[in-house]
Amino acid sequence: MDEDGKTIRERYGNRFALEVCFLAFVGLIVVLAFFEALTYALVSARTPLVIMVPLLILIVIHAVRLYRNSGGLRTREHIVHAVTGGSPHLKKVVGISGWMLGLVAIITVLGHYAGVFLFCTILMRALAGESWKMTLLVAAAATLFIFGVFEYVFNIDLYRGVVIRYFLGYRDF
Amino acid sequence: MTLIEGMTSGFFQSISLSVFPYLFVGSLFGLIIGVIPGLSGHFAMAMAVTFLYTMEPGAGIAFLLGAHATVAQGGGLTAILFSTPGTGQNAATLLDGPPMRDKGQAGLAVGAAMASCFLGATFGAVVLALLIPVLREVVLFFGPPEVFVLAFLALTFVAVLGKEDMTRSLIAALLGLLLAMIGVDNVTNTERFTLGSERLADGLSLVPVILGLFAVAEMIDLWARGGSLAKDMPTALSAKETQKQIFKGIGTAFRHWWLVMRCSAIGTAMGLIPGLGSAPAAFVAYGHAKQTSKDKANFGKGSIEGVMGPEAANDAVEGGALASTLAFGIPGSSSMAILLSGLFILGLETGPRMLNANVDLVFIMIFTIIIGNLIGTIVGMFLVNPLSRATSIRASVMVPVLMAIIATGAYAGDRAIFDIGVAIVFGIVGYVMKVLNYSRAALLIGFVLGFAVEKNLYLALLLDGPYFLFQPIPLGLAVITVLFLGWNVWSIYRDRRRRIIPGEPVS
Repeated sequence: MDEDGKTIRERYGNRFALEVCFLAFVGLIVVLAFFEALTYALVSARTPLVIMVPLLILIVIHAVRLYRNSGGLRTREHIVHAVTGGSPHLKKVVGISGWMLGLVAIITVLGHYAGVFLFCTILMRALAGESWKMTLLVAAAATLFIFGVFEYVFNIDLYRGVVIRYFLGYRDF
Repeated sequence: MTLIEGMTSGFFQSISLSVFPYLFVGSLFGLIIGVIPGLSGHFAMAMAVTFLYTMEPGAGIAFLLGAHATVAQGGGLTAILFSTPGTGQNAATLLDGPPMRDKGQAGLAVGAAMASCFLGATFGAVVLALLIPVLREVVLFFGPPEVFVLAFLALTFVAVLGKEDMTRSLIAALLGLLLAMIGVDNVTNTERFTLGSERLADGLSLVPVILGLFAVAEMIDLWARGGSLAKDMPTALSAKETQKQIFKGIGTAFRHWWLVMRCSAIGTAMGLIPGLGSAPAAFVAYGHAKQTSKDKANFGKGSIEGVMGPEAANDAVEGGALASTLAFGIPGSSSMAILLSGLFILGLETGPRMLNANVDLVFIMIFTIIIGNLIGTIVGMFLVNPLSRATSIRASVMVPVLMAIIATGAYAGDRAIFDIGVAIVFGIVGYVMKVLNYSRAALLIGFVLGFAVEKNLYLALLLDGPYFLFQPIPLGLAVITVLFLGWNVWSIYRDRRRRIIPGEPVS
């Protein structure tokens, strides 16, 4: 098998492994929701059950289709390879997703403006390697733009953060 | 409100100072988003939805639909200049746009494409206006049983006719419906699937879900791919020569008015069918343009007819798609689902009320499509070179800024940090769905329709008992749904020797 063929097979293998994980995750959630729905009154459970029965059947059908077409694809190896950091693409995706969740944490603690400024700075400078000049310029411009559009034009107060709210005398965060 | 009153009021509102600035900004925003490869019409609308909370209905509709109306124009420009479709619906323009550019006729192609977009959109909008009297009558036959079954028919069409694999799309559609069940049940006041969270008692908010599926997911994808958005940046066109060619291209589109009208009719008709969308309409229009051309051999080598046909069909789709969305509250595409969500946010409801008491708002939509495309054409005519530079922005600069705006938009609706988290979670789910070819449109439409499905099922059972399905219209719609689904399942079994490729469509 030539190099291109190997790469394509590797890519399909990775996607296959991802789909197995995704389908298992969705299947698990739906099964848990199904048992949860059984505890509700009939009127409340009716529509969710009407949705979940065909949904579970479809998940099983798709799982069978995946199983039948898994010949030669070493799914477990692909998953282990990805989890141990062997896939640069996945690392990038996990990295940006992690920093997005980090943005929520920063906003909660330091407030919206500090959160936006820090988020732009970290992503552009630390992760993408942009110059300091470009990073600070873009981060400041983004923060000012958000202030101008949301607070000034649309009159929406953005979150000031736990720290500032504490010093302002709030005890309900 | 009569149609004439609605039309007059809609027109004057569209050009009034309280609406037009929003329409202009929305159109410009859509044009820029359309130019940038990787950012689609859904992205433009998802971003636009975040600003609706403080707007009046007319201004909000103009802003949202203006952003959507010009995306295809921007996308066509990028397809011609950079061989990269700005949006998926411009893929058919790739067949003849870039060869025209290579022959030194880039301006001609851009002018013809933009004028065709404008003419196509106008055609679709006029058809929508003409359909209103018919829809006003038809919609009266649709009560809870009919709407309940129609929702399933629409979901089936979206899942089956979409570009994704049917099973995956059906899973996505049902997941969307299930997600809509989260929150307090209006009938029994029982909390469902809330995990004890007060935040989930009102259900998942629409805006963070939309932003997650269509904006955050695109940001993750752009960041993972990295680099500049357009790979090959050609040298800027000579401004004077380009301008001359653009005007000539616009004239050419008007001279080929019959072809443009025919392709627009194809687009509008395909827009009426839920799930088909713009991209297939553009390819069908391309095929039609080629079939009816006297110079078939030139197609694929830089035929201006091959540019005009798809671009006209692209924009004409919206008129047809709006008809079913406004009349029945059943969106046929993700863009229409986002529009429907926008209408909910603005406090509007679809159906007979929209077509009678609020028909002026329908005409604002119609005039927004026409004026928005006119703005797009005029801006595109004079600003081709500056617009095309937007494609050279690096993902590493664009993603952090847009993500910050998305996070702020998610927060702005209910002033809840929780919603930023919801947007991010749905962004990750949306990205995985995109990679694996699960239909995000089906999930969103299912989610938007979930509440209507449950409410109409409850009312149908209350009014007509369990045999409501045997009334003529629900029975007819149910039979169509089952036959359509059955025929497609049978087709798949017929071709079952084909192996599925992970992440790729099977059928």
